[in-house]
Amino acid sequence: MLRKTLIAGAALTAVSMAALSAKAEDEGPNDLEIAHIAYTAGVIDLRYAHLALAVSDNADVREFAGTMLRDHQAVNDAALALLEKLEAAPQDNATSQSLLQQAADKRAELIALEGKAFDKAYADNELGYHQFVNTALAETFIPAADNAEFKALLGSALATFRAHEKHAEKLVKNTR
Amino acid sequence: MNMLDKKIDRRRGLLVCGLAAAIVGQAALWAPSALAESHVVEIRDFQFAPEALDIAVGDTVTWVNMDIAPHTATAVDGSWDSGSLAQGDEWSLVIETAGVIDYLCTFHPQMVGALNVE
Repeated sequence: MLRKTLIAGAALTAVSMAALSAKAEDEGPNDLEIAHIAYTAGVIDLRYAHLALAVSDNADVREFAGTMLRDHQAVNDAALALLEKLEAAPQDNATSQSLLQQAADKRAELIALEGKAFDKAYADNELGYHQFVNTALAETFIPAADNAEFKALLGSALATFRAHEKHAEKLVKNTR
Repeated sequence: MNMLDKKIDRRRGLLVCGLAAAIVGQAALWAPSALAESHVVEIRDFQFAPEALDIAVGDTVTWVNMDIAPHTATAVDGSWDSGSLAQGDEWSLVIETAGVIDYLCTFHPQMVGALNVE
């Protein structure tokens, strides 16, 4: 009985891994690459939020940054928990590297600013960044994801980031 | 019936009356909680569902966070606050006053809800 259970468990794990494993190249990013891109995108916004909290005295900016810290950390924690459950590791890729380079450039721009100029630039960047990420999730990554649990997680993440996008629209107005 | 029997019978009558009064009294005490209802508000996709809830004084409302992001259920007037609810967390409150109670998520103030308490 125990042996049968172990075999069944191993088979399930194999199925999960297969669902998250690399697909043919012409089918776009695989689940492990998407996981890496989504996690990286979250880390980037966490870094922007830490910068805002270090630089800005604006109450709206600080409140927004605090929300980004809470929510993006929760989403990334949920992603890591799912990957651990599926015994899968995110796969680094060119898109993740490109996102990190763009973010490093943007951070260099932001660090050179202060006061209202920083607040406005941070707000504009948060709106643009969330619009970009949400479009990529909705139109590319969620349709491309194979594993049902992973696809559902991305859907929940998108709901979170869409709320952030609306919040960022208000922040842009408040920091003009 | 002799005098002793009458006394015993009278005592029995008093005892029955006393018990009946006690039972009625208990029933009156239990009535509100027996009629009180429990309600669930799901927090899903950055919305309280249902957004407006009709309830009665004494009812219990339980908020359950289904989102990945943490949320709160917090009275606008500050009289109660769930604190941070992570995914899967729930928090209950017995509503003790009538009227319209507006509440929100302090982390995402665009998320609002209302309890209409009769």
